[in-house]
Amino acid sequence: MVRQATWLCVILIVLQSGALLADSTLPDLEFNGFGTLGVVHSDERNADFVGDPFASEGAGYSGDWSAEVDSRLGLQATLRMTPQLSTVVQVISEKRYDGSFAPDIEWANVQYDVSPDLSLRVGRMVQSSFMASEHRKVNYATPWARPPQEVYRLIPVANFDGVDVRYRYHSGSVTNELQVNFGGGSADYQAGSIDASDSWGVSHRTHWGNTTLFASYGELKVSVDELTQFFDIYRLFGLPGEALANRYEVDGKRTRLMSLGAGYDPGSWFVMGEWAHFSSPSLLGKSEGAYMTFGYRIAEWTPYVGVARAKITSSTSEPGLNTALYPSPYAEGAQLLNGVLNEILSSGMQQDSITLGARWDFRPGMALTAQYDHIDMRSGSSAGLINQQPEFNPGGRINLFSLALDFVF
Amino acid sequence: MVRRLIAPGISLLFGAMLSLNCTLALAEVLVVVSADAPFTRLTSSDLRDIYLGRRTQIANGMMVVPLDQPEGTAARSEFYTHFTGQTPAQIKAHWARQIFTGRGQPPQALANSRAVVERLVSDTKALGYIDPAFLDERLRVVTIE
Repeated sequence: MVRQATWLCVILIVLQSGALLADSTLPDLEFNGFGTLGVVHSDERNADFVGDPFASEGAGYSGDWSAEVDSRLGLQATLRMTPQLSTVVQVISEKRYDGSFAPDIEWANVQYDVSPDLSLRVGRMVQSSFMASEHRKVNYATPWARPPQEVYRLIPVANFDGVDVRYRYHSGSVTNELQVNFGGGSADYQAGSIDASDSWGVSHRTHWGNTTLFASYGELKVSVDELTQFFDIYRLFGLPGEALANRYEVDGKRTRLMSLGAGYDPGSWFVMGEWAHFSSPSLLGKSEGAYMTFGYRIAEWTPYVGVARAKITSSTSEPGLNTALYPSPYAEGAQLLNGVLNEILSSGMQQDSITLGARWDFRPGMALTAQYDHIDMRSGSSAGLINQQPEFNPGGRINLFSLALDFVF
Repeated sequence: MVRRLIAPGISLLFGAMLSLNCTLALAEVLVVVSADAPFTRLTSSDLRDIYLGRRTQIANGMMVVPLDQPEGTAARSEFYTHFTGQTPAQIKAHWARQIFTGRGQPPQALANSRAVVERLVSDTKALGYIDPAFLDERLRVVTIE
């Protein structure tokens, strides 16, 4: 309902704006694009490494080398209708849950600048949960082959349909940006969809000379069809089943996400790092992630090194239903449910990784990046790998090699 | 063997230092406004914020419209390297972050220093950088503090 209302607003504002044209250089239409042509090699043959957790295939099991992990194309049209009113539509084509590269709308909104420092947007936007969230798919604009998954995978739904407000304020040589958003979004995957509703977030960014400081906090209600059905089965097991379902159910509970980030970039080198904490009083549990990247610039070359860690901070096991209390076949059913519950509780990302890479800005708007990642999975974790085969052993180590050509135009 | 490598190494190093000196001496730019512009001083952080799109007004609420020169020109790379401490590639990445998050387009790029001068003369809100050879009495050099 909120989403329909949002879209109606967008359409009305666009139609209205036709009457407001005044400046001779307006309306002004710009086309821009970005993309990555990349290949990834993984030495883990029994599971797929993916950049996007919803992609259907990746590198490792589906192929020694995969061009589908990082490759994507984004096209954007920006229409400035009046000095205050503009609209942006951005479409991205990348590997999806259904195996296709069907384009999807990443951004589609109308922005109204109340003043140069106060802007309102209505439509589809991206949450600014982390420092690089909003441009996480524009690899040209980030130092790595892909954003560190230990932090950027904490929250899978990044788009939302709703409203956001940005207020910029200056104090001396310090520039601050405060962003507040409200809305809802959804993401489809092979077995269903994940919906986020009533989500809101606040983020604050400070630029002070060469230093950037970032902080964000957000809450959302997540619902996953598949899990709702799973807990409905638990409820068939009387009071103990009911109690477990209430405790671990995802629907209707508030998930919280908090993050802090900092960067220092005097030009010839840079360092940046982020820490984020995710918590939900449900099956999704609590987890945190952090990374730090250091890079050095020598003419067109930027070698960089990074470390990252992700861990689950809530319990990863649950005794579940006491199978001795139920007659056959309910006892076997209870055992099966307990197995699935524990598997989900421990499926979160727990890993340490080391990244070594180099970027070569060989011509304006184009860069070539080579990156090596060594991932050490902890406590039987599967590092967010997909298409896990029966022979796959969680908790091991994997090595990745990525080569990517990033461009913007 | 080692010495045979050292000798060319040293000459390469000297060559690099010499060419560095030359670029510094040749590719100088001046930050200028119209002689009728209401300001003649800017702090270096204001200048950087204006060109990176983080600020459109300066202290007393005056609007400032930055003008650029085309990508790949010596003037542009000298300006950004000297006044923002960033290479043209870093500036390109900065604008990719702004454009693809719907936060704006880079400053308008005019063909050359002459075109920048012509625009400055007709627009007192405009701010530009030019090759010193194009400086004339219709302009004023902005003091960067």
